Amino acid sequence: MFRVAHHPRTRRHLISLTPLVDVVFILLIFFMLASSFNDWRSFNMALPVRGVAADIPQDPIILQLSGDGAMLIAGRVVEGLDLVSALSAQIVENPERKIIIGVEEGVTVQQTVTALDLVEQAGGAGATLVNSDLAQ
Amino acid sequence: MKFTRSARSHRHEFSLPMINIVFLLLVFFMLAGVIEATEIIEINPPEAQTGGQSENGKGDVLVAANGDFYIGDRQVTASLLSAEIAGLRDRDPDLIIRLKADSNAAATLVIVALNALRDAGLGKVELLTIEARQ
Repeated sequence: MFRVAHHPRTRRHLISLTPLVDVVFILLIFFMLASSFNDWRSFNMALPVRGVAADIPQDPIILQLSGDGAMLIAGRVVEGLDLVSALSAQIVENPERKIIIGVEEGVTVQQTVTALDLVEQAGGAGATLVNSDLAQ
Repeated sequence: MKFTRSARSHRHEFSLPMINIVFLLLVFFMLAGVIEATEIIEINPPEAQTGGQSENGKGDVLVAANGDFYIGDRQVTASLLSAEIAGLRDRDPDLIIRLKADSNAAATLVIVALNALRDAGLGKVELLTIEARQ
């Protein structure tokens, strides 16, 4: 019997390229569809107080959000950096004061988060959200 | 002297750069992306510039833009939210809820959810946001 000698340059590859590329494509499509690039961040929320007088914080800093997008401290409209400096002045004066964010009907979650953002920039932590009628 | 190449190796020569790119894309998506369970409803999270990394939360409470509440992938009414969360807390006393609210939802709905979580006896809640695009 003759034995056919394989030429070294034409020997078969252990893994052929086409199925490998197929698998890699399928993996790529899976990771493209399943991956999420959301960088989740979080605000630690202080839970609302019960309607018991002893639980309601004394002399809180009240930040009022109105439905038209305005933010008010003590009835005065303040915006952006003015709000941060006004809040930080009050927080530095007495760091123990609780911060209450009062929201009206029509205020969106984005407006509230923007307010929480400004409170955090001012150095406050753990603001409480309440309905406006309770904050007044 | 003239070297000739086989048709087979010539064909592979063209496909190799493509395979390289596909491999690079695969590695990118594997490393940069995070595989997480998708929500039952589409939530458009609010954006914030500050806020810490979310790490501790275990249970997700979703507040949809239309006012519906979900615990994980189960829709619950506002009145049952507190009882459902209390049930979860009984099973896991260290439960920290992650509140995912749609940015266009009414903020009063978040207050309803926070009141329910307080009534369920929870001490800590994370309100989730994503980093604001500059």
